[in-house]
Amino acid sequence: MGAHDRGARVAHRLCLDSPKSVKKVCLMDIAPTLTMYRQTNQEFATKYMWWFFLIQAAPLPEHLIGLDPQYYLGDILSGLNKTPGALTPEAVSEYVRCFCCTSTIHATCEDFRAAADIGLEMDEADERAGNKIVAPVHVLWGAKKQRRAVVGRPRDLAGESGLNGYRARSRLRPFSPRRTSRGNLRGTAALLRHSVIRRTTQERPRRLT
Amino acid sequence: MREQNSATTMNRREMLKLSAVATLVGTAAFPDKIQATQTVAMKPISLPELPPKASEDLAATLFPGFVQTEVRTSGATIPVFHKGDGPPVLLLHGYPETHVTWHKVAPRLAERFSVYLPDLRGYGDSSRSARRRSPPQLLVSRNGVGPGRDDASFWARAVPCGCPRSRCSRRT
Repeated sequence: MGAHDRGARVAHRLCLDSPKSVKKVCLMDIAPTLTMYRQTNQEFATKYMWWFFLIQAAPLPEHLIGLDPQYYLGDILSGLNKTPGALTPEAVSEYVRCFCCTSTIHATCEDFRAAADIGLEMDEADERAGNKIVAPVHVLWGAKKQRRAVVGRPRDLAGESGLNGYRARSRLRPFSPRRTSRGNLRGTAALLRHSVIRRTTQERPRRLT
Repeated sequence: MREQNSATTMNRREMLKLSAVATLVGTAAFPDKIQATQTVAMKPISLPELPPKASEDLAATLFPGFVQTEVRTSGATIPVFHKGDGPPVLLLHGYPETHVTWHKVAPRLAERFSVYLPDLRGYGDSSRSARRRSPPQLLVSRNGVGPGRDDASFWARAVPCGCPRSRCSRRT
């Protein structure tokens, strides 16, 4: 399974709820939601303002976004994307088509509200129970230093997993899922291809080549 | 000048009317916000409720050879693009995007894997979440049904059912 951003939070939850369903997982650009809210600082709140804006009670976020959804979408996408050319016009037109309607704006706000509400309760319950990801985990982050520092560090996720996965790779381009940069695709494909992965916590994480 | 002034007046009247309507709509949809919307005029939102229909040509360009199917669940319909043979790989997109985020990666992964690209619930062309406190997205029913017979068990196992862990009968 490969998952980016919100999708990676779904994947994280799936790994904890149904460990047998996930053989291997590649998580991109996330630290666990609980970790993110706990470690909130001024920098995170500034650069990822929608984590705090979208969870405000309806209909304020919906209304403000709905006044000019295309501008909002463009601003979020260009703010996240540090790699020129990574976003194709075709992809952006699809994002605009799907985002610029009231139901999507409301549903996506609800996604963030749920993550900051029941999602945190579930994360806390798993933390209390000591549940960790048992599947091998491959973690990817964008290359820009500032972004990695804001989104989280490999150790934030390493603490979540059973330390049996691959080492987090740095030096990758931001917005990794869109790119077919050699490192990213090769690393993901290699993770998925490997059939046998040792699960000893003593083992030093293997480096993909 | 006179005409301009009268036009401005008309616009103001129109605006007041519209804001009154918006207030009514706003309070009906979100009753806990009555106080705020009664005192502040809301500019009306002119957006469709659902996204316009997707272009099949664009889908064929971005995902050549992919087949679109739908996963119907008790509470949602999730569109899923699929291609390839081999071990299943489920790719989940982020905010504020759709499965299109994978268009550079998915065709190459499909050369060796059976790739599945859903839109998370509430995103893209999937149906919207009806209730608050829904757990993190892509909710499907406990008996998630997949695109084909062989895939059904994969989907049933691979997709979060959305129940809190403590109450989930599918817990493994």
